[in-house]
Amino acid sequence: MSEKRIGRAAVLGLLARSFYLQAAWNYETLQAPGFAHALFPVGRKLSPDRERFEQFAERHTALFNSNPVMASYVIGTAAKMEEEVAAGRSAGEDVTVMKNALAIPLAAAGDRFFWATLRPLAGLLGVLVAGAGGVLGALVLLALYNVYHLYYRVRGVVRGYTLGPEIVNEVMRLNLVGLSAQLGTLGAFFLGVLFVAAGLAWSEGRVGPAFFAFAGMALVVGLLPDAFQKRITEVALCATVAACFLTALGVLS
Amino acid sequence: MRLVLTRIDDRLLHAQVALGWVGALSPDVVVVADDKLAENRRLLPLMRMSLPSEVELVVAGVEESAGLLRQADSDTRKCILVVRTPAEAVRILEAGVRVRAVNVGGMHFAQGKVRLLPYVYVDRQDVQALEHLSSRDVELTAQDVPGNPSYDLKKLLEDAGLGGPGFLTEEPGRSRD
Amino acid sequence: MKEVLLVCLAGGVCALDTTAAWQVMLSQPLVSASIAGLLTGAPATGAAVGVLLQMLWSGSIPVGARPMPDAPVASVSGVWFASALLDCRPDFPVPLAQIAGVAAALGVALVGRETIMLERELNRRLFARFLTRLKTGRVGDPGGVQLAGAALAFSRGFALCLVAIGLLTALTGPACRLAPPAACTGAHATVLVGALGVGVLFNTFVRRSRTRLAAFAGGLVFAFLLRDVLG
Repeated sequence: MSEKRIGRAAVLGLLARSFYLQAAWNYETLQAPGFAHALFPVGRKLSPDRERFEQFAERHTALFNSNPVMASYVIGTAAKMEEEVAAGRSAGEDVTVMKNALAIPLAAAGDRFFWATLRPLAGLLGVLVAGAGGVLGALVLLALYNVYHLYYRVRGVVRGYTLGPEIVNEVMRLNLVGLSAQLGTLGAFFLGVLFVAAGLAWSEGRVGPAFFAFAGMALVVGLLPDAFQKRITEVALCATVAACFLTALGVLS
Repeated sequence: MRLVLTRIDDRLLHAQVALGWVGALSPDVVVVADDKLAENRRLLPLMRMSLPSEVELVVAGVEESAGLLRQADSDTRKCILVVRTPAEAVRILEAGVRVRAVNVGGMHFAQGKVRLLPYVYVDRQDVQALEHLSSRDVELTAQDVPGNPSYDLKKLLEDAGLGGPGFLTEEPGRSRD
Repeated sequence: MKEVLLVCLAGGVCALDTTAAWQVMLSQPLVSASIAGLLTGAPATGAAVGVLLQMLWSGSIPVGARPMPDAPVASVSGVWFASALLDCRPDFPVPLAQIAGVAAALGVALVGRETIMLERELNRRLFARFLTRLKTGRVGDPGGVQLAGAALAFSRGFALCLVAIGLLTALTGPACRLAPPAACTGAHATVLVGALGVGVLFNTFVRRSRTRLAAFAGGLVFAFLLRDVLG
């Protein structure tokens, strides 16, 4: 059987399409449309005959769910393994097994890192900067988030394609959980800074009753249970509408 | 070990469990009871990476996990148990583990399954297993992550025409959407 | 009118970034609001509304079946409302306009969440049809489904933004006439909403960990010592 490689341009194609993994996100197959979209050009290149391409299509239109950034490791690895399948050295089933084996831990570790740590941290630093520099805050948010985002996205596709199934060892060494813990601690430090800066800014610079009212309220809100945190939009809506009317009526200054 | 959550999730240990429930319940141990996964030791370190370092991870076959959970009543550590399907929850229960409540968090779409919630699809075997759990006084709820609404699964099944007396003789109803 | 279209275009692009494409965080409230501020010629208002919304939503993570509140479209409409209030009367108090903008944004976000559910259901149908065709041997290209999904996400954001701005414009007149007494600027309201936001951040970063608590305390002390320098 002739040796087929998808080529450098196709790897770049995988990277470009990885940005659209969730374009047709849905509750039934989750990220399957995006995964199929990323992989299909690889399949067309590697499986000229109809029957093999149909098997390929079935493998990559199945339910897929991972962290949208870290999924690029799975995309790269799957493409490499498809070359092996086309060369007859590996079975199609192996690709499916590897996809699932990688997707789930990458989802858990990636969501912890990107959604639960990096994004709030970027937001926090953006808020701190915006307090002094307005629009500059948004740029800080974008810069901090995307340094990590683009690094892992590009690296995922490239290393996944280079290593194939051997990517498992590299993924295990990523230590996103450790990095999350470190950045989370950094976030706690900057929150302390924001606490003081915001408190002083809103109480005319004095550590007086207004400052302590602010600090007390923030701590109480912070300690309320998950069910409250999940409904923060509804709570804040009621609070802001009430506050607007009370201000207009002259009750709140 | 003290079960603080028994969860049915076909994705096993993923973000909703590793981030949501582990964050809310702060367990000491997470037990993933799955025969297929227990065979494949190579993937264990890969799964380890999704949990904070202070939480212990045990991956074992269903019966072996049941053994771990049954023994050591003196062991007061808090434990989250994750299984893939309702049938495995039944096996855990039948192996003598005291399961009082089961949380269904992920039974995803497959051909021929009926939709109850965006993340709960069931077929005939699932309904039978769930009904079995319910008949043994296990409280059945569906909830994906802490803080989101929790649904009474038995009621959802009845509303879909799948629960209640005589359901075993009927074909599962058609999807409602 | 040209300004409305520009702002809604930004709303659509930021909505697209939420889930469907790129995810470079244009959809974060601080970014969407800053963009809207620049487009409406009120960058300071944009940043101020963005700061409050960013804090309030910093605990929301896209894990679980329920979609998050529609932050980008909300932020853009909220900034529009705040700057419309400031334009309607020269003496309209700035903090009150910002809080009103935040209130409007929160409302839009909740409506937006319901429309996201609809969008996802449409995506499901599109891909289900693709899969059915695949089973009968007609292998298409998922690119079509993807394009439709992305177009849907953009149009939803754009349309919702137009509707929200339309409604908020109608609201601007009456809100403007509701003149508060001179001493009432909305300063207390800002403290209230700010405290809610900082509370959410506290919950996100500090709760349940001694290391984090120590780091938080370190930040407090650091900022107190340097408060004169930081101004």
